[in-house]
Amino acid sequence: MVDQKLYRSMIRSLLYVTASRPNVMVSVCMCARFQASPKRKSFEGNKKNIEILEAYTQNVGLWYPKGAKFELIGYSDSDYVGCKVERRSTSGTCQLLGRSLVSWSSKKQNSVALSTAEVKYNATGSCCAQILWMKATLKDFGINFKQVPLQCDHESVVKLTNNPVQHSRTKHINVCHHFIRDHQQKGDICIESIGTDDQLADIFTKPLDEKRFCKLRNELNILDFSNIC
Amino acid sequence: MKSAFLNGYINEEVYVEQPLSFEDDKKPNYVYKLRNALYGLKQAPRAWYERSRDFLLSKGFKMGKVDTTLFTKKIGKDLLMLQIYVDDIIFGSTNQEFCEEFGNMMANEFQMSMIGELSYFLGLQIKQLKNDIFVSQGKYIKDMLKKLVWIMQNQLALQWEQMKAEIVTQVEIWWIKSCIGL
Repeated sequence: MVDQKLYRSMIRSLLYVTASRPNVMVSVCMCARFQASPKRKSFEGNKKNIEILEAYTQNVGLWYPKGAKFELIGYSDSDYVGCKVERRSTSGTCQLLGRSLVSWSSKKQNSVALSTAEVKYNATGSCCAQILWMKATLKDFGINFKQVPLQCDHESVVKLTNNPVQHSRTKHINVCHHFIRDHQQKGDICIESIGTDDQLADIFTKPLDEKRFCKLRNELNILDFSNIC
Repeated sequence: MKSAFLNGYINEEVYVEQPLSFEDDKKPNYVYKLRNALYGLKQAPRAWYERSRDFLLSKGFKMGKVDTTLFTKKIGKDLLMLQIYVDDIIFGSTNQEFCEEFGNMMANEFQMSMIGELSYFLGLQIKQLKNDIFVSQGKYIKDMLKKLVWIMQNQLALQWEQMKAEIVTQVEIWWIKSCIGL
């Protein structure tokens, strides 16, 4: 019904906005899922995104404060069956250096998962992969990290990673997701448990209510410029 | 960086046709052989990258292992870093002197214009304050909105016209059908 080319060009423009405004990531990615056959409704969703950008002051961006603490920390979270069509879940991850957000992602997972533990396990795996890459990049700058903390709000995932044995309920999880155990043992990362309220990556997995959205947005240092000066 | 790609040297044999107003009347069937890279050439970006890389490596810079467009150099306790993005180069140092020195060095080797303190890069507006850095895309968003809103208004108007046309024909068909007793 709707012009596909136009829809895609809108998505492209919006995706670049996420470079300085990770808080719109979820809604843009949600719209991007309908690229193959955009209907009028998804078109309106996209229009809403644009209207929101317009309504909010356009000076919102990422704020990088100067700080003595310079540590890499990763957060990983996911929803459970966010996509009602394919029954797949969305994983969201973000990495912070000190207090500054430097890397983030929101992605629908490639496979259907059977339990929340599996979903979060997959998300933690992709967060681990990103951390490994960032560690390698930071080495170029002459900074070495060991035992990078990876915050996950699911107790089972922490246990699964720390105790590398096969359970009857995790047998089916693909081997590629188990590389995280390897890196946990090598000491590259260190999986930690975190409360759901403190989980910063929550904002990359699902639409949130206004209060929580604003709280997480502020904690990720996505601020309006006029509020700083 | 001005006309960056022209700085690249070319290792392969590439020929171009005689361009307009550079034709040789005596030898109309001849072609030119390229010594330097040209814009629009498939090899141009690679040639430029190799040229800049070799120059920086010869000046004692170390190439990043993961990001090969990141170059770092340690001078005593100070660190000089630069990142190349095609023909945009951003660099920074813990010591102001090295920044100026590096700027002069690059200006000697390539035709380069210094823009000064980083404030705009790849559509990102960067505000550097005393104790913090702020990155936003206000200008990009404004331009994007202007473009998209304009397209959408036209698009929706067009669709409505099409829809109206369809309705009219359907009604007509129904009317015609009922007239002839179908």
